[in-house]
Amino acid sequence: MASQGSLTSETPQRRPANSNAGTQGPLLHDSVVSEGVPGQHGTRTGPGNVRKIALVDDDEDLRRLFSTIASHLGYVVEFVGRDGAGIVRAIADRSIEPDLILMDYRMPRMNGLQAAREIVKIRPAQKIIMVTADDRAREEVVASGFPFVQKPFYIATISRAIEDAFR
Amino acid sequence: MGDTSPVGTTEVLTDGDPLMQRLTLVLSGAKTGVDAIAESMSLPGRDRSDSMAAVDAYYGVRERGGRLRILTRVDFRNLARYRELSKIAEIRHLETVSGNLLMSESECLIAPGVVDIFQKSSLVSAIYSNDRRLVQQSRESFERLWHAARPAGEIFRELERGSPKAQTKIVRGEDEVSKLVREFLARAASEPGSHVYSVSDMTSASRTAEMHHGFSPTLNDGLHSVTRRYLTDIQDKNIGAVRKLQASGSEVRHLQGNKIRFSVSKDEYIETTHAKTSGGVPDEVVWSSDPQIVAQATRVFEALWATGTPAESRVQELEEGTPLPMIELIRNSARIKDVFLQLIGQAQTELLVIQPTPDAFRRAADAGMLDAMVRAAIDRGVEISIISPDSAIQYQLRQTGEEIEAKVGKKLLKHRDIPKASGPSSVTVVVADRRSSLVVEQNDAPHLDFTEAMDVATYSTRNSTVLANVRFFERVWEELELREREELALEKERRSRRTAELLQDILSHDIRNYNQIVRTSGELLKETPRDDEEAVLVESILRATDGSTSLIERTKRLGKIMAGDNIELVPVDVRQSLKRSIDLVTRANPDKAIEISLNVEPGTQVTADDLLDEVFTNLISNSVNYTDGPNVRVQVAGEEDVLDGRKERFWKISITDEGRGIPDDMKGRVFTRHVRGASGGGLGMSIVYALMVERFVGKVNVFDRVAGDHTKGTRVELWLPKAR
Repeated sequence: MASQGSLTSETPQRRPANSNAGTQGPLLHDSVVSEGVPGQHGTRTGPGNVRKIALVDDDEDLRRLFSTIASHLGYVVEFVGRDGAGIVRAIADRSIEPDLILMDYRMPRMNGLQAAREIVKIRPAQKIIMVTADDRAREEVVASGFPFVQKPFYIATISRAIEDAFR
Repeated sequence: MGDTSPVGTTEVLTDGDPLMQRLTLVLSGAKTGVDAIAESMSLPGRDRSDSMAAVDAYYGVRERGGRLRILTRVDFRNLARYRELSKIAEIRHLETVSGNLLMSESECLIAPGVVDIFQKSSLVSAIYSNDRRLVQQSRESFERLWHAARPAGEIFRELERGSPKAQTKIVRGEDEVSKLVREFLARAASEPGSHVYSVSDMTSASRTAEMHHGFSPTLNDGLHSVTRRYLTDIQDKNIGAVRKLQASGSEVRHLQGNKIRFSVSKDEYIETTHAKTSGGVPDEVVWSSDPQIVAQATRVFEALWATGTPAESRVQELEEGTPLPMIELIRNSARIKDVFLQLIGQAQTELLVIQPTPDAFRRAADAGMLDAMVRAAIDRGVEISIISPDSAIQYQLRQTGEEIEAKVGKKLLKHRDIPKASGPSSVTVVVADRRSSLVVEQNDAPHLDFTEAMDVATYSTRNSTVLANVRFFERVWEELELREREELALEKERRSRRTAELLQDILSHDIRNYNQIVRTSGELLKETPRDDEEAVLVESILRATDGSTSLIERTKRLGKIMAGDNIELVPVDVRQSLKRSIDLVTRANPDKAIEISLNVEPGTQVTADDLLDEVFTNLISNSVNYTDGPNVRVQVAGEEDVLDGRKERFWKISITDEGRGIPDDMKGRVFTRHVRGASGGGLGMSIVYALMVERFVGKVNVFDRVAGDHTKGTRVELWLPKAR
C-alpha cells in the first residue's frame, strides 16, 4: 500500500479547495474549463509557463475533486471529460493541448487505455497517467507502458506521479 | 501373421470358416496327391454332413488321379470308416500317431490334439503354410513314418479275427448288443464313484438314453452312485430323451452337430459303429477294455464335454425358438459388415453401440449404420444408445436423433461422448437386444472404408459373452455419464466463480472509487479544519476509508486463497509482520491502553507471504477485543520448534492475552466460521486457520493461558515453517 503523504509537504504553494474557477459547478460534460492564470496557480513552472492538465473520469465527484487537487498542486485544469472519446476528439481537433492527461480506465464509449492509444497517435509526446480502480484492467494498463496509479490514491501519491511525469 | 518373404507364408488360423476354406483350397489345389497323418482325425466320408466342400475336394483328388495316403492308428472304433476309405486311399497303421497333418506337394495344414479336421465345429485352430522349407520338413517326417508303418489291411484282418491282445471285439446282433450294454452298466454300477460318459449324435440320443436306463430298470438304483454325463446334439426331437436322462440323475450337455457315438466307463469302451444309424437298438457295437483306447476315449469325451452347453439353456432356447447360442470368429470383412448391419437391422428393442473413433464412426455411417438405426427406431421403436467421440459426429448424431424424435415423438437415440484419446482403443461394439453382440477390431487408418478397415470380429449369441459386452458398454456409459456430470458440476462451479469474481471486481472498483472521493475530500478538509473537533472527525473519516480500502484488498486476496489460486510463498520477517499488525491494532483502538511485549528475535524468517500480517492482526485484535476493561496486555514470543512427523524446522509464535478466554467446549470449534459468541461473524479465526494450515502449511492451536482455567486468558500457538 502506498505510504500516506501529506499534502502540505508535497505542495508548498496551493490554494483553498474552492478557489479554482475550473471546478465550480458540476462538470457533467466535457468542458474546456480554464486557460489557467499564470502566477496564480502555476508556481511550479514559473510565471508564464503554467502546466495544463486534462482530467477524464466518468464519475462527477471525482472529476470535481481531481480538478481541485490539480489546482491545489498549481496546475491549470485545461479540460475535464467524462469518457475517452471526448478527449480524443478534443485532442484531434486541437481544441486542447494539455501537458498531461489524468485518465481513468473504465469509462463508457471508449475506455481510458483505448483513448490514450488514440491520443499518442495524434500527439506522440503526450504525457498521460492512467488511473484505475479496476483490478481486471491493471495488468493491461501496466503492460501498456503508461504510468499508472491505483485508486483510491492519496493526494501525495498522485502529486508525485505527476511530478515524475514532468521530470 | 503373414510372411511376405519369397519362401512362402505361414499363418495361424483360429476359426472354423477360414480353416475349412483353407482346407478345401489345399485339397483342390493338390496336383500329385494328398498325404495325411491322423491322430484322431475322423477321415471324410460322403455320408457326413459337415464341410461337404472339403469332403468333395478330398474325393476330388482321387478323381483327378491323385494319390491319397493316410497314416493312422486303426482300431475297432475306426475300423469300419477306414475300411470304407481304403477303397480310395492307401492307409497304413502306426501304433503311436501324434498330431494331425494334411499336405499336398506345396502346402500343409498342421492341427494339434484331438480334432476332426473335416468337422468345422471340432477344428478350432491350425497352422497353414506354403513355406517350402516347412512343407519339405513335413514331407520328410511323413515319409519316414510311412515306411515304418504297417499296411492297414493287416490290421483290418487282425481286428476282424479278434486279437486277444487287443481285448477288443465287435459285437453283432441286437440281443448280443443289449446283453453287452447291460453288463457294461452293471460293471460300472458295481464300482461306486465310477463314471459313465456317453456321447451321441441326435438320432441315437434316445437309444443311448435307453442304453443307460432302458435295458435294465433294476440297475437304476445302482447307477445313482455313478457320475453319468451325457453329451449330445440336442434338438426338438430328442428333448424328451434329454429330460428322461436328467430326471434319472444324468448331467446333460449339448454339442452342436456332434457325430461321435460312444460310451466310456473307467475300464470299458463301447462304440456304436457306422454299420447301422437308424433308430432302435444298434445291431453292431465295438467293445474294448484296452486301457489305451479307454484312456483316449475318456480324454476325447472330457475335451468335448468342456465345450458343451448346459442342456437347460439349450432346451430353453429350443422352446423359445431362439437361435443356437454360438461364438463365431469372423475374418471375412464383407461378412463382418453384413453381420454389423444385420444386428442393427434385426434389433427389436435395444441397441448398444460403441464407435471408438471419429473414423470408425464415419466408416460405419458410410456403410449405412445411421440409416439402419433410423429404421430400427422408427419402424420398431428400438432404443439406441451410442458411445462415440465428439466433434463432427455430434452433428450427424443430433440430426439422426432429431429425425427419429420428429417421427416417433420420443427420444430414442441417446449419446455419450468419448473424450479424445480416452476411448476403448479401436474396437467397435454392437449389442442387439442383449441377445447378440459383435465386437470388431479394426485398423483405424483414416483413408480406409468399412470393409478395408475390418480386421477380425467376434459375433456371439452366447449369453455369457453378450452379457459381458453389455456390462462393458454399461461401464463405459456410466463412466462417461459420471464424467459428464462432473464436467457439468465443474462448469457450474467455474461459472459461479466467474460471476463471483465479476461481482467482486465491480464491487471493489466502485468502493475504491467511493473511497477515492471520501479520502480526497477528507484530505482536502484536513488542510483547513474549522476546529479541533472537525480535525478529529476528519481523521476518523480518513482512517475508516483506509480501513475500507484495506478490507477490499484483503477480501480479494482471501477470496483467492479460498479458491486455491497458487501464490508463491517467500521468506517473511516475522518480527516486522508482527510490528505492522501491532501498530494497526493499536491505532484502531485508541481508547484502550494496549501493552504488547514483543519477544521475537530480529531476523526471524518463516515461509509465508504478506498475508501473514492478516494472521497476526486477527489474533492480536481478538486479544484486544476479548479483554474486558481499558487495559490490554499481550505477550508475543517466538522460539524454534519441531512438529511431529515433519522434517523441517518451525518457528513457534505464541500470542498470549489475559482476556476472557475461550471455554473448552468452544476451543474445538473456534476455527469454524460463524462461531456463536464470536464477534465479526467469527470469520477472523477461520481465515487464520485457512492461512496457517492450508496456505503456509503450518499449524495453529488454542490453549488456556493458565492450564485448566480458561477465564485467565488465551494462548494461541502458531507453527510456521522456518525459511531456509
